[in-house]
Amino acid sequence: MSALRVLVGCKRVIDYAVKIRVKPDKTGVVTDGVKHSMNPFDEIAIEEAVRLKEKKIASEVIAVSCGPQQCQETLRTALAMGADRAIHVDIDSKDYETLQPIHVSKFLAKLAQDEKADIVIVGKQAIDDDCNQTGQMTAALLDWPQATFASKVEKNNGDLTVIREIDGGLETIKVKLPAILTADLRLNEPRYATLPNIMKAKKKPMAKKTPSDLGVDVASRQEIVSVEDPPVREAGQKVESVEELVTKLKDSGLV
Amino acid sequence: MKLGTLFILDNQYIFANKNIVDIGSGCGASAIACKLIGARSVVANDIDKIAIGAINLNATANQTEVSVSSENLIGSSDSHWNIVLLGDMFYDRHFVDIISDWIPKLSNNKISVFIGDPGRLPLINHPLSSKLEIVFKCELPEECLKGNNGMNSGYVWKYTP
Repeated sequence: MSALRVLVGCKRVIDYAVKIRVKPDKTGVVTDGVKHSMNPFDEIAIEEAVRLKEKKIASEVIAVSCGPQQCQETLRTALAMGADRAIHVDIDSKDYETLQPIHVSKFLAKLAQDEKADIVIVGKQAIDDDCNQTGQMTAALLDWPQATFASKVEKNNGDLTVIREIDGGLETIKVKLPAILTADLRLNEPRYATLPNIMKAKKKPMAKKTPSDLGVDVASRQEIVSVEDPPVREAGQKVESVEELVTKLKDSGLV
Repeated sequence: MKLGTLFILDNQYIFANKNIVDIGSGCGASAIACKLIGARSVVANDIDKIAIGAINLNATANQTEVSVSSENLIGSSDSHWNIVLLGDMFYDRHFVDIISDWIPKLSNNKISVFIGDPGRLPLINHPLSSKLEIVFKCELPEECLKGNNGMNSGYVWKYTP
């Protein structure tokens, strides 16, 4: 059995189907009493790690989530999908409000070294802040090669061959291990956590760490000035005929 | 444990005329298989009362009978046991520690130990695994895959000190 160890980051985010509401004081969005779930790109990352395990390329999949106590629910989902064990980096709710990808990438980099990971997989971005930074920063901190926006991953000898989704189409690159991958939408279709797996996941080990255990300063590097709703779309106008449309367009100087 | 059961049916000579204890028997498949291929005596052991009921039902369905016990037999030993079966019990590190202390004691008493497991990490990473020899390997069937995300092979190990 191969000895590759895969570390996967999975973020707890507001569920993709929830309508986001901005707090009245414009400091952020309402999270209390709102349904949360695993960031969909991180689900893809976990799925890829589990598939590497099923192909016997990986021997162990470790899921990591950084945030408040509720992140453990996200980690249980990862365990039910097939991760072997989990690490919860416990951040108190005050620090979590200002936690940024730079902090998370420091946690991931430290854990990757502590756990002797060979591959770190994260989603290409989280659907809440859309930062698209964690994978890249983790690669920089570790000085490991990175294959971002992966849509296909294969192992050849000691290297990974990764097909990346780029603006102009697809790019195929080779990276040496250890390496960072970030998962794009078409990498795979994540499986559901079935009931028997959810039951078994309860018995899988979950370790808890604090930022100080990992030697990371979580002081904020940015200040949130204001969070606002996007402008409300103005109502359109109905026209009865093509002639009327052309007249209106001419009147407003558009044609 | 279905996998252990397949191994028993394929290797009847190991189990025939032996006194066998099936620990964590669950549905009783392995215990029933031992009985059907001519083991001298079989005890299906599970601390879960519902499992005991299931074992009795399954034994009747296979037109046989096995002795059942819901006592926790882990740690104990009996001079007339020949073989101990352990099926799918290694999902918990702490539990593996308990069992790994017990297995060498059984072995010292000339009792063979067979383990059925899909290669769970607490077992693979345990020092005990260096003394386990794979005697049977197969791909897990579809319905079994759905309940074991991340694992698609099943193994039977024999303890070889």
